[in-house]
Amino acid sequence: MTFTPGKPVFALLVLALIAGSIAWLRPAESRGDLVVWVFADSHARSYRGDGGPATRPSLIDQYRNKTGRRVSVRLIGGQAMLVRLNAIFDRDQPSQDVPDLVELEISTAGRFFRPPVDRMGLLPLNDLLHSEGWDDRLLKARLAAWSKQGVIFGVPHDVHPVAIAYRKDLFDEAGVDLAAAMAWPDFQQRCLQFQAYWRRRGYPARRAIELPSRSSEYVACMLLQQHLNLLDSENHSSLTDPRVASAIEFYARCVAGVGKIGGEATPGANLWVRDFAQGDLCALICPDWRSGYLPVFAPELAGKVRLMPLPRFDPADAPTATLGGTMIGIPRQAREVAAAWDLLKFLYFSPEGLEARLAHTKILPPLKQTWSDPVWHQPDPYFGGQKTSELHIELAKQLPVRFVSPFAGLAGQILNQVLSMAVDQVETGDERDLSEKIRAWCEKGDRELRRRIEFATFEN
Amino acid sequence: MKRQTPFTLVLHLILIGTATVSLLPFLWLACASLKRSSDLFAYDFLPWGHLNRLSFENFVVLFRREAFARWLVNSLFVASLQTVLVLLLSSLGGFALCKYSFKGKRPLMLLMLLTLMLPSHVLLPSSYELMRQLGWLNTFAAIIVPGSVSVFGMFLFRQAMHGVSDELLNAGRIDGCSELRLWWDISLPIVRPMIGAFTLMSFIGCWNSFLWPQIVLQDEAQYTLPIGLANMMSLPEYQTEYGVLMSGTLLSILPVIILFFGLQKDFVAGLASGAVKG
Amino acid sequence: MLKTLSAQPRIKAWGIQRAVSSYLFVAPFVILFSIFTLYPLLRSLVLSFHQTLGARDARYVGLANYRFLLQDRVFWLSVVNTVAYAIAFLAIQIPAAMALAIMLNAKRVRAKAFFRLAFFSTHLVGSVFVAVLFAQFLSPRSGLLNHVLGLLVGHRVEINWLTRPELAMPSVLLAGLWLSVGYAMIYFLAALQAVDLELYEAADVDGASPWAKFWHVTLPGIRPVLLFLILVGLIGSLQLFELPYVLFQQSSGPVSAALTMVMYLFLFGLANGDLGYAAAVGWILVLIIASVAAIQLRVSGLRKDA
Repeated sequence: MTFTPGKPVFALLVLALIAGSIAWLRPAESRGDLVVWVFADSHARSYRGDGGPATRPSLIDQYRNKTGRRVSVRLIGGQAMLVRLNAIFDRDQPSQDVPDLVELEISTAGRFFRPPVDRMGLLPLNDLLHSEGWDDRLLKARLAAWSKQGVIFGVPHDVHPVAIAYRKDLFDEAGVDLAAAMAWPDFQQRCLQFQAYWRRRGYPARRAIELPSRSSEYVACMLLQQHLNLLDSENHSSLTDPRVASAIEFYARCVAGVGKIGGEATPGANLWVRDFAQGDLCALICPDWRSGYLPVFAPELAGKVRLMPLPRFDPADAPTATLGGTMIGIPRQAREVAAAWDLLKFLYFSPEGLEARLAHTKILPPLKQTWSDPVWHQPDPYFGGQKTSELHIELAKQLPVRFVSPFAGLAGQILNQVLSMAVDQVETGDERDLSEKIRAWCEKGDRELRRRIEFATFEN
Repeated sequence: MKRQTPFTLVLHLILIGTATVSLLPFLWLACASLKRSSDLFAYDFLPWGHLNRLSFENFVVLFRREAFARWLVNSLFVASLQTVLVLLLSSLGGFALCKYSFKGKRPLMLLMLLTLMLPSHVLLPSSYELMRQLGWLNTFAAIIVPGSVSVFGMFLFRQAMHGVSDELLNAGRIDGCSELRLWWDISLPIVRPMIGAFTLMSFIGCWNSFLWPQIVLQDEAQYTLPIGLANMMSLPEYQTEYGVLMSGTLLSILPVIILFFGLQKDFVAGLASGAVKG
Repeated sequence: MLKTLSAQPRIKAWGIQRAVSSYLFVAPFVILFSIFTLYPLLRSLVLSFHQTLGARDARYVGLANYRFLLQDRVFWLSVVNTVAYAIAFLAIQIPAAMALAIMLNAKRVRAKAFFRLAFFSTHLVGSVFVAVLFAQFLSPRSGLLNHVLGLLVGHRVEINWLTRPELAMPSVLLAGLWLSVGYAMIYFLAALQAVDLELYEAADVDGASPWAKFWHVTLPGIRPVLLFLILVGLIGSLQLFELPYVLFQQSSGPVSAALTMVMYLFLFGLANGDLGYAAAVGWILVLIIASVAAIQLRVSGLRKDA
């Protein structure tokens, strides 16, 4: 007997039957009593306990032992998360596909902050936080990030204070004391000295610090140091503030022209570590999650690395900024708010939760009371005995407020554009009227940004 | 003929050069899957000086810690069933579009062309809501059923069916064949090469499809290979275990290569019968 | 006489059967197509005239989405990026694939099956993983491409393929071509094998030059496949999204140099829950693709159903 469409098709049919029955017979994972959506593999692992020490039950098992409730943690990719959450936040009925808790990343979270406060897809948390006093125990600067017009929609996972990590061995050899630089221009001069030393010794490609020349995220850090958000919580743009133009100008001269001290990092998750380890880029803008990766991915640098606070433009500026971040929130359509809130507290506030997190990463939690724990006050041999966590705590206390905004993506794009034009200008060596030009570009960008905000805001 | 030899040599050199460019990334992939993460970017291919640093650790992680076997079974099921269904629907529909004239045929074909031009992203939100209303979220039906519709396939088979002569069909009718048997017993054997070509194309497409499955499948036991692998890639701020990712990618290519070997004769001939005689 | 009489009702019965079966045969497709494609498609057309927060909060704004869109600098940036990519892509992919196919089709070439698999193999990998692979090959210090270039010029090369705006789209192009030249080659190969060999023999008898043979025999023979590939390549490259999006770490590349139209649709519409705006972008894209395709079909003189 022959199968008309041919043997391969017949084989596929058989394959479908076999694979289908295996998939069918396998016990399906039933939905837990509570469902948490996360976007990062590392967070999923710290909750589910895989990859960590096997001696202890995982965090969600501990929760089950304590409360009897089963928790499913689901790792969901970026695009799917956006499409699904937008669909869910849009509903007025609870349904099966709504998670009880959802974690969002700071660069995408703003997208969900477009609706008016009373129609946000996330539940306001002010009352829950306040009634148990959590709002006072959490770092205010971080709560503000996840708020809109004073209404809090997310609980911060982290603080992510920014410092600079540098190769002390290489800077010492060049006779440059980088940590003594308190101001950005001084920092740039010391980096130039460092590069000149190494160029004479046959390392012309050695750059002092990792600074991308066409991406403005570190310009945004320099602005945050001056307590300037490109868009504040009311979506007012500050692109025309003169400090924006002057920060762009300074930065452009750090990545191009005679004052160039920066080089590009290898693109990709944690590949910058290699640039640092090989001495291609000898300092890094370094939030606490980056300094946590260093010992893991570059163990050979033990003892050779130090952290220092960010230099400033003005003594009144903050010696730090913040990069990256995660929040956790409860969808408005969640079935059981009380249960979701209880789990949220367990994951983010409980000693068990914080301990599980510490087993995976050394990220400073935003709960101020935990900062006195001895674990944050140990000398770190990797950093030559420096008490790095203590430095992070000092910086966290001075952390500038960063807001999320639905238009942050566009604002960043415009800042990139202005920076890129400034860099082109510096590269040609024709720097006449650079400051005026940058200001004019900022004004043009500001008009574009305002037009978009006016168009896409739903409140009016 | 002899004076052509240098020419033949150059020809082969060009072909070998191009083949190298095509295959080099696969070689890199294979090497990467055997390397530990600290060596991954330190050596282009293999750490020749210290071959003892190679290991199958990445593959072990893939099967032990990650649910690679599950993803594989799910992917095999979804891709093979969807391929068979899309093949049936497209060849049947293409047969009808080619061999019959009926009311509404032209508007239907225009609409079909239109959908080829609209980026599928636009349809995602409505499709997601539709799946929820049907209760298909988190089931393979949400992938397989919509996936069994292929405008592209309809057009391909419509072209291929031109190769089936009307006399043959009429002769079949006189012999008392039902219209369904005209399709199955008379036309399908003639368009067999197109079946081969289309089977391979749809299988590859379905095997690698990523966005829609990621949106509708919510339960990790249901994940297909691309979802599982893509979840290992992180945002720049998070870690990516490249070695494990590379070994997973390597293994996920194997089934398609096997299918290619099984179909390659039909495949080339089928492309000729479909688009060629357009 | 007798024969025709008895045949009459049978022919009529066939007619009915044919009419019914034509509908029955397209019915499964049409039903599924209407539910899963046409319905969302029509909905998106309606939504494109609304300002939206998700789909629930929608208010009718007429053509406002379209108006804003057509005045938006970033949208036009994405159009320029995408169209430039599409032109460059086709200008390289089609001749390269055709040349490879002609070479591979030459009688004297050995190991044809191996080359065929080698060239086609790149198409077996999904574009997400092509992007992951190429992100590694193109990295400035440890990337394979710079190492190879370094070997060729004899000193260390450090080109920032992925962070220099002017190199962003060429990088995407490199990955895109790697992915699809072999695929197009297979089509050409199939077409070449179907060209009537007698035509070549006749040309040989006439003493035609290789160029004349290519121009007068080969090209007409593979014309349908050529047009088909151009159309498919055009639609595919104008809808480019995943490759650059993953290559640039889920972003639009340095200074948005790799922002494509569908990426614009995603980042400025869909991801913000602004479904109306996303739909408007999608329909503008349909207009662009349809007009380019229409021009292409007219120029090529093949206006019959492609």
